[in-house]
Amino acid sequence: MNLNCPECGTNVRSYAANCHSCFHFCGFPNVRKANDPEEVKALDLQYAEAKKSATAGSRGTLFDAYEAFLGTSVAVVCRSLDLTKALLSSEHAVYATYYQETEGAGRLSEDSLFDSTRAATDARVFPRYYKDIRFGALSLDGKGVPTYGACSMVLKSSAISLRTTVFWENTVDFCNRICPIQKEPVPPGYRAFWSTRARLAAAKGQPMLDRQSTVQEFAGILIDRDVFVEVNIYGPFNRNSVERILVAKPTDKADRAVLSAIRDVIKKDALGIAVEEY
Amino acid sequence: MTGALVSGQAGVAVFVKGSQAWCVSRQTAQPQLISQGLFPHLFGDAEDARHFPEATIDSTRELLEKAFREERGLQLALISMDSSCSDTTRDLSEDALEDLLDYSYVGEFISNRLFSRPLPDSSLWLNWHSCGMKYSKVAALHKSVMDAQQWILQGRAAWDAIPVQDFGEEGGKPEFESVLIETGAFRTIAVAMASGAKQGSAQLQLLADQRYKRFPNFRHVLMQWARVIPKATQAGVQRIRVEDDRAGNLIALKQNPKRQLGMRRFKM
Repeated sequence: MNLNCPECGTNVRSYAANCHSCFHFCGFPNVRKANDPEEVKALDLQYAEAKKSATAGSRGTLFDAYEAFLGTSVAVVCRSLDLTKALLSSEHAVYATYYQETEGAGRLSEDSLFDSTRAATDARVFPRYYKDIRFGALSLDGKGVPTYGACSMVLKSSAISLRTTVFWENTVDFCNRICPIQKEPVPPGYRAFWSTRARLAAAKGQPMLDRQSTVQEFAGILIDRDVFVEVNIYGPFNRNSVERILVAKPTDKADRAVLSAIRDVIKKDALGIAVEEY
Repeated sequence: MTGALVSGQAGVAVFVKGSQAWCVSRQTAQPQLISQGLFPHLFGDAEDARHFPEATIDSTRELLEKAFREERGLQLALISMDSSCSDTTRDLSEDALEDLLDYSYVGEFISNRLFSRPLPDSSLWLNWHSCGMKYSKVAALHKSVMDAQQWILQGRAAWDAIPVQDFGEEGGKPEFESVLIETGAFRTIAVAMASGAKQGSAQLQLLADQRYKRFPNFRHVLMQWARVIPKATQAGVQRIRVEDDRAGNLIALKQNPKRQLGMRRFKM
């Protein structure tokens, strides 16, 4: 989508947040992309078809209920207890992207495991701004994907809503499945900006909705083991972006110590972050 | 393409063979086949991820356990000296650290890092006496770090004094420094000074380490740094003082009058 800077009229590059001529802020590139009329139209179509299918199968009410719940969904990033503590312990600690860490630390050789599928996919889905994207998962109950870490950090909507988009599923899995040829464009209709995340997630989850499905099962439909709606956050976040933390009850002394230290720092610095054990 | 990527901080490892990847984590007993697309979710902001090209799927869990214990041990040591943590938290951390110190590599990992710069003034360890501590292995770690503070300070000052231009390229100094910390070179320098070892033997030890040879000008840098170790055996005299705990504290007190003696930490 072509966009001209509202300030100086120069054509704004699709991957840039600021105009290259006058540096006027022109919107986050991931959000602009999701707002592209072609994307919006294709998602509307997916949503309409999902709703039609649910209604035809006498699941229309359930679909509406699921979508309403999805309106309350949150962005969750899962980390280990140690990394969670590191993020919360300093005002200056920011959640770095995976690319910043691999480049900055110089920790991997050039023929590393990573210079492959992931980078190639990210360059397709978030061309030339993928290094600014942080990844999370959309959740109804605040729990993320447990494989990724014991701590689920729920991010404040106010901290991310203007710069966050959601994608149908993990972008690499999606590209491998739907558009495996690298030079082909990623088809439209699989991404949405934050305020329309419920429509995307409802369209995706519709086939899993059974007439017997209960509200209690909605969270498990949205995150089904490693299958989830991916959250893509442009730019950094820090401890002030975190609303609450959900953590599995610690099973050993060391975990209890680190969790206790997390509670201490939240209290000392009056971060107002709720910690829930489950 | 094969090997494992392991992060103790994230508590996760991924073994890759060809186009397939398996995730090994502390939460799961068996490796799980995963998409490579999940890497950013798994490693996100972890700073310590390391690539082991020779790893097998069986050795990946061992590598993960080792890396996890090392990172966790360091975290617990830092919690133990953190004045912002409650007494309960610090006691929990020392109790858990005591168990982890059963693994000798955990102590080595922590020491390599704690010997790389002096403890900050806010560190509670500065005010404690080792023999007042509840856990014997933690107390031994504390004592070794405290006894070496003046040597750590000198080793750090000598390193900081080396001009960045000597490292050839931009960013060369911090990168070299991180490898020196990882490999325990700061500890080597501090221990050499504390033990009264001759400058030459420490220099030789550093120069013989293959891991430094990839850095431009490494020989010149290491020789320059090791000059902080006295040539004569004057340090040997000081060593005797350091080994006497009370005298050691007196020396430290002269250097840092703010430090309080006698604030022993007794466990209830």
